[in-house]
Amino acid sequence: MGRERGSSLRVAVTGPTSEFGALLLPRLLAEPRIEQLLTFGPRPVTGARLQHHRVDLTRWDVESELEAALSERPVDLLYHLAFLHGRTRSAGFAHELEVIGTLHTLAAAVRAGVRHVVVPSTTVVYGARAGNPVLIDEEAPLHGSPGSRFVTDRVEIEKQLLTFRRDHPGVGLTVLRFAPVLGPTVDNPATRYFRRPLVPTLLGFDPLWQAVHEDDVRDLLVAQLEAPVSGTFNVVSDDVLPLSSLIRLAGTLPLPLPPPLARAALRGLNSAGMTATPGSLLDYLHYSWVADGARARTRLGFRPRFGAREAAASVRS
Amino acid sequence: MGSRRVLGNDPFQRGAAERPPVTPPTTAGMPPEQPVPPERTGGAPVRTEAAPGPRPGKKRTGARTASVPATPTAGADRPPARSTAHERPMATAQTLSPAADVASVRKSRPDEDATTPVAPEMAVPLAASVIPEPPPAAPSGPPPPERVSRAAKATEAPGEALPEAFFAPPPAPGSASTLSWTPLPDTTSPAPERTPSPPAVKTVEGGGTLGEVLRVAPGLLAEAWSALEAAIRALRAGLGTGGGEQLDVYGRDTRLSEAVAPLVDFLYSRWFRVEVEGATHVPAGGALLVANHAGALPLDGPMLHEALRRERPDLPESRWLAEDQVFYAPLLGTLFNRLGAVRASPDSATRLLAEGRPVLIFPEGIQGIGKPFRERYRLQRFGRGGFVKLALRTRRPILPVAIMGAEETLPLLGKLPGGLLGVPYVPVTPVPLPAKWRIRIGEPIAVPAGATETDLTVVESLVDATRNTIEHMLRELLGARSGVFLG
Repeated sequence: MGRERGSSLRVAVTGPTSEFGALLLPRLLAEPRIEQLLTFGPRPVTGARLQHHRVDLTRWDVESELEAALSERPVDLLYHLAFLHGRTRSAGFAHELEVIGTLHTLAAAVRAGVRHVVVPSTTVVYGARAGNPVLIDEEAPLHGSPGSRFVTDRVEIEKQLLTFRRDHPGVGLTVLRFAPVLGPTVDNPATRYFRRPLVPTLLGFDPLWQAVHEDDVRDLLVAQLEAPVSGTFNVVSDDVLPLSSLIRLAGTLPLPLPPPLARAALRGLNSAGMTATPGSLLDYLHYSWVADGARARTRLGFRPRFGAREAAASVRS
Repeated sequence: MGSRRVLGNDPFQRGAAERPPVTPPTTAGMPPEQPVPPERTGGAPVRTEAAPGPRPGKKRTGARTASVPATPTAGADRPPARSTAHERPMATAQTLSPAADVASVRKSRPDEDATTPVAPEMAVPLAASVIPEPPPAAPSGPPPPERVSRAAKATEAPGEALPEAFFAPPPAPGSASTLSWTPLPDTTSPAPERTPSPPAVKTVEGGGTLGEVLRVAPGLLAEAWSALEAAIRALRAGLGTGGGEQLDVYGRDTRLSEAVAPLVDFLYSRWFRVEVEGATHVPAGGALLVANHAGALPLDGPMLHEALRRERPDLPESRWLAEDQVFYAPLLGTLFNRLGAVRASPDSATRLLAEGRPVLIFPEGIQGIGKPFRERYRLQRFGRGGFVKLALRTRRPILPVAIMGAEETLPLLGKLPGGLLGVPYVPVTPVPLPAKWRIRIGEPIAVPAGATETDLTVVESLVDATRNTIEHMLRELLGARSGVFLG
């Protein structure tokens, strides 16, 4: 869809204080091409040309709120970034915010005539499985990690997006499945994992991982401002590294545990309420999950400045 | 008794009788009852069978060589085994005195010994077995330049005789016992590949033994040390604590491969003394090399990979496909992945072929490496024909590959439950034994034009053709083998 040049872009962001929101917002605020910037979130943000709407995406009536705001000041591009990456003990809240919040946001976007929606996702949705192909492309089934609420929610969101794409072909939709985003400022499960003083791994296994640097994530999100390309894209580093190398590059030490012991220990800790990490997440330490980034390279022109090596090293604080 | 058992182990009896080899070279006119000493074909030098000479302590050789004149040229391969094969006499290692055999080996090939690389580990058992016992006088005195008679070919893998033949000091008993020495009038130089003599013997025998030992020891020590370092590095990579940073998407670690090169080199050229035939058959642009699968731990993948790396440096680096049970075995699977194993799946194979790589496939999968030792060289079911469908889809040729030696290198002696490790079983096996390896790469089996992978008749016939060719080549290799460790 053609978008006029100059200072004419009208952009909305949900979740401006989320992980991706915090990455992107400073760049959007400094972006001269943006004429108007709407933000929707629970915590206030300020900036020139920025209009903040305090909304709670978990509320049942948020959809009409969003629709009213988006209709009042129409936007061309909506970044839906309201996803949790921080720690939360409340799986119920996470589900409401991520799955139901996405449902509301997409519905409001359609009704308000938003032309294009950009949604970040993660390559975690493919799942780490014995049967994974060498490179997982975007058409691969999303197996997720059935024991994990977090991953299951992400898979559910992906299904919503698929339905949305089918039901509303007139609205552009870009889904960016990021490899674990690493960087000095981001805080997500992956960075927390690599910032441990001792990083638990599975003895005898060293799966292949990918990573993407937060600067490359930011650049790619900003690049969607003009002429965004509809589709689903794996956004990964050009290189592939074994988990143990990422850990070493992140400046910490692996703690290899025999797999049965690790699973039993995690089960025990979970039963005792000391952790909320489902055992099925250990699959990501067991099997390789390498996504094919060819489509993002060719169709989005994504050329990461950093490899997984640099991304992991940047976690080092 | 022995022959029955041994031949009961002959993998080719039933299979070959039911399905004649696809490319039966010249077995037509040969009476199957005749225990013909088969000759190695396909580029290997023809071995002439001489009249039965004096053979110290070799019970079986009389019967065997008696048949030789019936087929003087003996250029033919052994006919498909028939039931009559059961009646053949056999060579059992326990009938022979190891020391005597080693002595005969030693005496008979001084020239070869000098040029043969010495495997340091082999020196100790050999020396121990040879030195104290003076060699029994060879009846014919110091033999002239001799060759290994290939008389008792298919029988050198005795079933019952196995323990003695197998677990004795490496090159001495099992191998030497099956050697017979024949004067060779024309001293055509023995093919270099045919000099797998136990090298340490030379050191033991030579006059300046000590000096020679001192001369070669530093080099050997350095080699052993670098192999040990490589092994430690490999262990760390396998345990998942020493990952590298130069990986391709398949998981192969270039740096690690370089680091463990001394170990692979040692195993390949010194320990297994791998010899490769038919490497020129591998075409450029991708091909499916389909091989038999053996050994409690499947070393055949890395060894075939190394063979192609050495013999065909012009080709892109090959990859071998590993079954899930190996690929996801702790330590081993991780290490293999870093060294070039790719999880066996149509998509990864297609990707590899599209890159023009030779893809090494072991369609027997876990059944090949999980069969008990007594079923060695008996081909298992060839998967579900996935490799043929792959060939039909990608229009790449299939090359049958026979690997001899892997079975005896890591005999599967038992299985322990492996649930705790997440593997189907934990194999009980000794350290890799220095069996002699031979790899024969056959002619490409062309994929019929126009056939598709949905044509199940074509698929099945190609599976059978591949399997039979491998079976046939294995037979030839086994028939030409004079000893498990000598080759």
